[in-house]
Amino acid sequence: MPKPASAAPLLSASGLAKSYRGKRVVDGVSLAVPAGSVTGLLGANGAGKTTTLRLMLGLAHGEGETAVLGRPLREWHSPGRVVGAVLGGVGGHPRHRVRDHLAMVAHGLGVPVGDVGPALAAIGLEQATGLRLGQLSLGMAQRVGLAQALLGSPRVLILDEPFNGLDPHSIAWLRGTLRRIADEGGAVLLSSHLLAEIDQLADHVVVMARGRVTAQSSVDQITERAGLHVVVESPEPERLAAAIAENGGCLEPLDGVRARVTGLDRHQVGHLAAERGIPLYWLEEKTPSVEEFYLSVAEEEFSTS
Amino acid sequence: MTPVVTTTTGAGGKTAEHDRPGMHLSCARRALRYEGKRLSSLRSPWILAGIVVLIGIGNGIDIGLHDYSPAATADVLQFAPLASQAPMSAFLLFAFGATAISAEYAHQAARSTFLTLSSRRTAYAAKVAVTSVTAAAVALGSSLLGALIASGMRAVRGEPSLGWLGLPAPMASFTVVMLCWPALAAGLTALVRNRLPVIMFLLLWPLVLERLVGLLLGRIPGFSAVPGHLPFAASRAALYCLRGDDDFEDAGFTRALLGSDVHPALGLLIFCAFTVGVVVAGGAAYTRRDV
Repeated sequence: MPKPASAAPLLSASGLAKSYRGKRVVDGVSLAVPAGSVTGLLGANGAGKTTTLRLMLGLAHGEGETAVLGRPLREWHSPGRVVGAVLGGVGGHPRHRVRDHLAMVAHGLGVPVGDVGPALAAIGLEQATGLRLGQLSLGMAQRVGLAQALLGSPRVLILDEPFNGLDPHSIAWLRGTLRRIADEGGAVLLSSHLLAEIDQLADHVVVMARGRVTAQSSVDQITERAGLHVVVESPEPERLAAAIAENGGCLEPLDGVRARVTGLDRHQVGHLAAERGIPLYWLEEKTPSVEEFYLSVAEEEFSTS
Repeated sequence: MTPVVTTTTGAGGKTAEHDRPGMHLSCARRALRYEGKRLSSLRSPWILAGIVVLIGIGNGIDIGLHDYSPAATADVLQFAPLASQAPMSAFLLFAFGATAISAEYAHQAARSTFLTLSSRRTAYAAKVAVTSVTAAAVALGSSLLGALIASGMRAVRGEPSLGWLGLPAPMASFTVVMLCWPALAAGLTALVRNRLPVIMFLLLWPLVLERLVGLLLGRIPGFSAVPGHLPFAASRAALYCLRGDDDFEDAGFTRALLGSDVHPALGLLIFCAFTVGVVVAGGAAYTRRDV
């Protein structure tokens, strides 16, 4: 399990807002990413995630304020050394070779050009150093973008859909890298549609819908709030449901075959079934996932709109 | 203001220093090196520069083979601004400025730029400075190379040496005009976000459109002097600074090609002011645009 994050936010945003042609696409978004943590930004397409990240990075103009290491990004002389960002691959001239592009960024950041080689080695792209940016696959572009983001050794990382286009090996590598950065005291904010990845990686989640933050919570709080549940499969669900209800629990059918039990743990359900002579084909204790949390929040949001 | 320095430990465990708010020369230096690397890593600037150098060599051979007047010699060394209505080198090298800005928008390079350099204003200033200085240096270097070749050929042919003393003024005007062209292109591209209309504008306006506008303006009572003060006519006047020998055979035709009788210094001032106006307007657009 990830380590608990310290309280001080390395990255915080308050009151972010942005309108396009009178339509509010981001509306009063406030969030904080503490040191030592990974925060997942979740939301459907058009929820305002990317615009929020662009506002935080100063790439788009709008209302609100973002502080990185305690002050607005525009006040840092070398922004790439306090925050690294990957927003859909790598932004650069398609005729530039990878090594030249990264050398250019190194010049801009004021870091030695000699750091480019190790940065490429770290993402396993030494062989791509002579390729032009326009020749890179989506996955390679993502990795070069990440190498660029890490070149200035920033403490804060902001990534928009970083898993897009990556193969399973790269996803595992990226997950490990982001976790390591957070564990070393950094702060990582990433948006993703891949809820399973967020589930494995994030310490906090922020859910956005229609440009607003509709929920934010730590993963521990989600677990505490939703509690554990047990998934069972039995040929006699009615008898099992009655027995569970008698003992203070509740059984809800899931898919016609399996059912979810809340209010009792797997030991209690197992003992109860054995005492009553009810056969069980499946018994599994599950923690609530980020996906379930997100879907429940999204369902609530859409049912109230 | 003295910058305050804080030290943070980076994601890679490295120690990095970040300067707090305040003026800092390193920001400008880093921006210039960033832009220099961007420009030098592309093949097209090298090709264009190579073409200008070849034309410069050709100009030198042309002067070496003919007995031109000082004014005609200066015109050839300035890449024939009279015949082509602007220095030929300007038509080739203004692309430096246009592509420096258009690539920012077309390939999302602006995101890398804005997240790397200290401010958008610094980034824009570095783009204008690097492309302008590079273009002017290439053009001036090519001209001087041509002058050296011409001198050598004249010496071999036993003819009088090139009038070197008459060259500094035309070469200085030429250098300033060459500094302005990429800056103009950068400013215009920042305004419209697309280099194609800018390229079309900068190719057609000095050649044709400004003449037409001048003709129309000249018909308005009280505006008869305005055509000669239009920016590119003024730049031609600035370049044609070896006057006094207007009694030669084609003087009338030359005056028609020139299209302006303003003083060279005033012409240079007008063209520079026009460039500064466009660059400032482009900078305002560049720094305010969402990327």
